[in-house]
Amino acid sequence: MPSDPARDLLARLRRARGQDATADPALLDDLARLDGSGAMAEAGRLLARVPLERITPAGRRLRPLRVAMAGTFTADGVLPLLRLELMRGGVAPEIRTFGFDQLVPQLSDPDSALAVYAPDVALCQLDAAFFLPETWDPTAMGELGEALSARAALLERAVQGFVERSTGIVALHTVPLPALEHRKVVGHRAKAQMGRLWRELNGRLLELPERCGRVHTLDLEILLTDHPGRLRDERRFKFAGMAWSPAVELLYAREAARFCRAAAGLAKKALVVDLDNTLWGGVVGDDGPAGIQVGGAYPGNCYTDVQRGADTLRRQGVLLAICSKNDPAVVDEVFSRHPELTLRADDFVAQAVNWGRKDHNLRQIAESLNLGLDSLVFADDSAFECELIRRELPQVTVVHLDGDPAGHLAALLEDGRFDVLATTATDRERTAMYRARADRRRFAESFASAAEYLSELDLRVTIAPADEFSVPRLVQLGLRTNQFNLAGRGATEARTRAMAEAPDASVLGFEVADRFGREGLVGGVWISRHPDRWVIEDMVMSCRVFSRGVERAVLAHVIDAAAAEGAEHLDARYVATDRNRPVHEFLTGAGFVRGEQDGDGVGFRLSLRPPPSVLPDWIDLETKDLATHG
Amino acid sequence: MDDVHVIVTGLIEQVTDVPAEEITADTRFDGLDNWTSFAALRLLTLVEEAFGIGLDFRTYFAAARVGDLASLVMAARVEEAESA
Repeated sequence: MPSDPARDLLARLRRARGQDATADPALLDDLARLDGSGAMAEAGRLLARVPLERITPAGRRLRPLRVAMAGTFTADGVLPLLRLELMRGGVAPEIRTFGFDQLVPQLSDPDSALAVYAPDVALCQLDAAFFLPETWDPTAMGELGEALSARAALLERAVQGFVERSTGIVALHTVPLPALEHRKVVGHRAKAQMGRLWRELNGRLLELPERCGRVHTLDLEILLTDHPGRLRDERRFKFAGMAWSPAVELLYAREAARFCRAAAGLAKKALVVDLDNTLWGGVVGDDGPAGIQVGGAYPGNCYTDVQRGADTLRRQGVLLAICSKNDPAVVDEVFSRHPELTLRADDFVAQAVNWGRKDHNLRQIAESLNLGLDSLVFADDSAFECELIRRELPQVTVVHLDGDPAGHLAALLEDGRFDVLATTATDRERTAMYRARADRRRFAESFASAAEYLSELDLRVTIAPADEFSVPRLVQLGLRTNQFNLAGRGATEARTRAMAEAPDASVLGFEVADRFGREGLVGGVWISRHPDRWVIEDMVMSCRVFSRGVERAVLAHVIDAAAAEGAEHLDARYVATDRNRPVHEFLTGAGFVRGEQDGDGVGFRLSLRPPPSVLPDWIDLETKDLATHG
Repeated sequence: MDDVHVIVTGLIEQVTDVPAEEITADTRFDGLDNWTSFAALRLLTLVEEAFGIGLDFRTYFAAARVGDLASLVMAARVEEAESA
């Protein structure tokens, strides 16, 4: 039933209104699940009588703001939507409306109710009917131009007078011409004239901020270009004088709320981005600096768009930072040598490139920039990382870049999170200032996992002996995986088959699934079995599943199997490359002791007397019996 | 029929705060708490969004009881289905 989630949320709001209602601190954030302007408007209506501290997380501070709404038509529908959007955007608003259709008198009279209220922000809703005479002659466009001009001048004088007498700011907006008016004109030459006259009117409204410091003009006409609905519902207009359809009321309310947020100083200050499949396509650790997708044709051009968009934000004062699980040397190489990158290392004020937890890295980035976590926007393609940040750092705004990369830039820019009233010369210099100040510290890595978070992920690792289906995929994984790759290069298909079939060797593949879905086959282990010791000849794992304890779960299984067959040691031969440091960290972290250099490799040994316990308690391990094969 | 009635009473609850369980097909709109012409317009928006239909204002405002509205919704759905 389409209305069920909405009914539940509205029922919670009604309960929260009660005198002795209990706290429901997740409620305000949960209202994001409402869709459809109708249900949102009802939520906004109920919100007027709910104490905010009862429905927001402890410690969240909303910024108070006095807002006035006055229009040239009946915009009753905007009020509850505006309240909802403001509260969700971090504003605790006091909103008053001033007799719809009363805009000009309210602005002009020094003693009007609006003037007495003295709002921080006065939002003015304008309708085409305010400017357009009831009847006009399409054969005398000159007269129409004069009429429009006279109405615009009347509005300008009223706004200027109000601003001179008050301390707040005023927001007008461009006024779309209803298509029906345009269709009344039959001559194409005259249609063009009318279009031009109308744009000149909007041009005047857009020019007003340049002459009048505390006047702003929202561009409703441009907002409508990616809005699917009608501007006007003629039934509502004729019946109740409502000039906007419910969907356009919502569109306006959202833009007005973004404007109020900017006025209240709530703009986000920094954009922290992941790298792989975020700033470029592919995984640089595996695909190599030359193998990533950026520039050129689709999908590389989508990532170029993301970079250009981020750079445009940077030029306007938004700080850029990187938070990526990667090898810093490889990332440095990409930024210094890849010809297609728009962004370069100097464009970022902080780089947390390591294998540590992203919530810890984000905290450190915020501290190093001396910003609150609520000033950060974090963008990542991984559902795992996005969930982690939402959970551990709820103050941070999280943008999950999933789906077609052609939509990534729009996802970064939506909601006007970085909007300010005006940018200044300081904004243009901000990146350089922060870089000069930055102490260039390396971000401390913490490999400890967020155990509580991980335990709620329902991580399941399934280990099975390689068979004719998995051998080709394991070989391919070995060749593609550069970071978690014990022997530095993958085993050949012939060797993998031989080991899989030999009585004294095993090849195991492992799969990972969690509540976000199945990752499929993500790694393998190549083992030689001797009576007293087992040797891990090779082990590879996709970096998609790093930092979740998967490799330890696999090791735990190998330890158990080796100990059960009476082996005293587990050996591993590590061949260092310029990429596979994570394997070294894994071996030493699991208790392996470094031994002798052996050609291009180094021996590592783990005693199985007694067998160490390395299985993370948040992982469910499912195994197929080793002894049943080859 | 039952489905439409359940959805419609749920939407009336959203607009008026009157629990859906207390609303029957015979309930008169003008007897509901918080019922105003603005509430009627808001209900119309919800009904049209929920069912993907458009109603004629003349018949919508002539519907005195909840059951009348449910009948209008069903007729409009049939019309939409036929024209689709």
